[in-house]
Amino acid sequence: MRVGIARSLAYYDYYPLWETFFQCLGCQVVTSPATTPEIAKQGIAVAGDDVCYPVKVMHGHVAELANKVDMIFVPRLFSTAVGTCECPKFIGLADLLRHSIPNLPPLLSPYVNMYASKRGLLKAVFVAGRAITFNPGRIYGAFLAGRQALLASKRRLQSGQLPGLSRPQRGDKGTLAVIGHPYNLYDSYSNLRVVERLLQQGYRVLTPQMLPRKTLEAANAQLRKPLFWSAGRVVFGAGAHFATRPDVMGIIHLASFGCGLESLITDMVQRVAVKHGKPYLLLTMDEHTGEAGVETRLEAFLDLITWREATKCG
Amino acid sequence: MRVTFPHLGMVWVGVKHLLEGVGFEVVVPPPITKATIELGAKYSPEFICLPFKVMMGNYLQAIEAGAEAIFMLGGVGPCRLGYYAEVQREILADLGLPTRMIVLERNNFAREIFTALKANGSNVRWHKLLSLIRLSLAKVTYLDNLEALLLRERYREKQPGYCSKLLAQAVQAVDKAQSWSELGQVKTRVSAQLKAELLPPPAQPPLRVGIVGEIYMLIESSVNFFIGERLGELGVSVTRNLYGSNWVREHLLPDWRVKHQMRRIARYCRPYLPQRVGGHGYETVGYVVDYAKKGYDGLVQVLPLTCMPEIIAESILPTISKQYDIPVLALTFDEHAGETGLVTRLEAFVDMLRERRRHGVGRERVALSVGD
Repeated sequence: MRVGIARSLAYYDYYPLWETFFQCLGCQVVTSPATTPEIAKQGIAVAGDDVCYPVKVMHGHVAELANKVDMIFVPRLFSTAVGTCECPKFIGLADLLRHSIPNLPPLLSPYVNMYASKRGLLKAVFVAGRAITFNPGRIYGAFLAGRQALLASKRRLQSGQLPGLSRPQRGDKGTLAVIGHPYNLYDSYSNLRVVERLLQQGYRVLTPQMLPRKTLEAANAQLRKPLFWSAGRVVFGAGAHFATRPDVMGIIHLASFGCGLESLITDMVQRVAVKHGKPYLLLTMDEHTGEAGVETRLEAFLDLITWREATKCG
Repeated sequence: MRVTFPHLGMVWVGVKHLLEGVGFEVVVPPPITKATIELGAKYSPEFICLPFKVMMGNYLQAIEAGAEAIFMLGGVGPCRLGYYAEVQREILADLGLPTRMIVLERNNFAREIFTALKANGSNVRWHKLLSLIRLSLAKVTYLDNLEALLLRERYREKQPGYCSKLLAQAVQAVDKAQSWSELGQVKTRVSAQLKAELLPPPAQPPLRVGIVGEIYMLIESSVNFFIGERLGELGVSVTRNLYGSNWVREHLLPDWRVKHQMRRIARYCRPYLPQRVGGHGYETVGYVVDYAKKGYDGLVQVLPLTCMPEIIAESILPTISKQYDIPVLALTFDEHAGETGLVTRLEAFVDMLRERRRHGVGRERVALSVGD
């Protein structure tokens, strides 16, 4: 059986787990290619007008997979950590896709709810596995193997290695923090190659996924009321942490237009950055954002940082 | 202590009664106008949804009028409303305003209220508090029922604009009523007045349109440019799915009627959206099916720009619209929304519904289920 996984949204968080899980169950995993202009265009055409850009791109990826696989894996992620929840669009993603794209193969969409306890995950794992085998031992084994793969990839990220980059970063010009949702940071088509550009220019790039969980938790502890979105906790925690770090020269926040979480979190991170006197650049992107405009703003920001560093030393 | 709270339709009447009853001095924010929205938008994050901005405007205008503390609801859930208060508190602090925010969360509801009462020096007996809550709720429930009735019957008012005037008078009168008997007198007077001012029901049943969507945009009609009233003036009988008192009954009081209703809505949702997505996206989908089954001619969905739960509903509605052959108009609002464009769209929508009816399009569904 061929299981399709779209290279978009939660893919960037959980791909190793999903891939290993389905391979261990004897499936062939088909992943959609990295975002291309055609995929994005297709997504924009089929998705509703008001949904945010990443979700439109997700539609494109799923449409791309539609006639290549027997089943597409799109979990309904309600909550991926105890006491938190996900963006409503993650929860209703499978339903959005089902109603917007015609002629889809069946969607495998287990409901993941870890709000009350971690056991919610196991339930979802068995629901997903049952579509392929009835042997619970095999399902559990595949899950354990998947978890190993996920942890290994997390460790790789935490050692400072960006996904898709074999060589270690040069970083001779200094360190910049790039924060935002993983599907913006690691999809270089969607972020208009901002991260690539920084690496080319010789900056070392830090992302939220490189921080250990304890650091993020400590940064979140300064809030009177903890954020209830797990994705929001990562982005805010990373922003608040990087704002206090002396080796980080500036923070670049990649946000999507129409993103509900970012509308609050950009404001909150900006407030922390201003408090600590850390340069902060917010790039809001959607399908209409031009590469030239982003380039100009990025250059101006980098000039500002270079100038700041120079005056500080002198 | 002079306290205030954000507007939500006519809920202020009840909240004011309750807070004054326990000894607070209440500053009701001035009615929402374009100036309120602009003021709020000026100090809010750029891409936040409209209710945040309007509430911000309410706070600033109320603070200008002398408010010292703000009551606001918190909450946890995928909808952003649960985190509004935290960011609003920061914004007010950045503006250098000494206003206190009293945020009522699920886990500290009672504690916050008692701290505030203590700080105010009020001493309220339990039974007094209970009767206050009952009368406040009765006030809001009555106004909600009246509004629902007026939305349904506005198409047959004798002079245009009478119903809206009557509602405004009723709000003032209910606000003044301090006892059950006074409230009863208002009820009798209003229903007598209304009866005299309505034409007899026409032989041909009117067009029926349901309004669904995000709760704040639905209830606060000054933000949605009074679409219910406008549809009524175009000769449409309007039904709305959410009211302030419904929300209280569903979330704060165990009311079996609401529970029963929600079970039905859940059944309707199952084929389209099997799980809740925060906010009222789930209710929107359920009520759209409900109204379609009940033979409504058309539906209007109201949502603020970038509203996360409603966007999911919005993307699912075309499927339901096709299956039940019922037109759905989705209206997105932000602080730049213009009145003229909205009126044109509503007029075109009603014209289309009228033509559909004249040519008998979708008549089977409408005829089959009238009186359901």
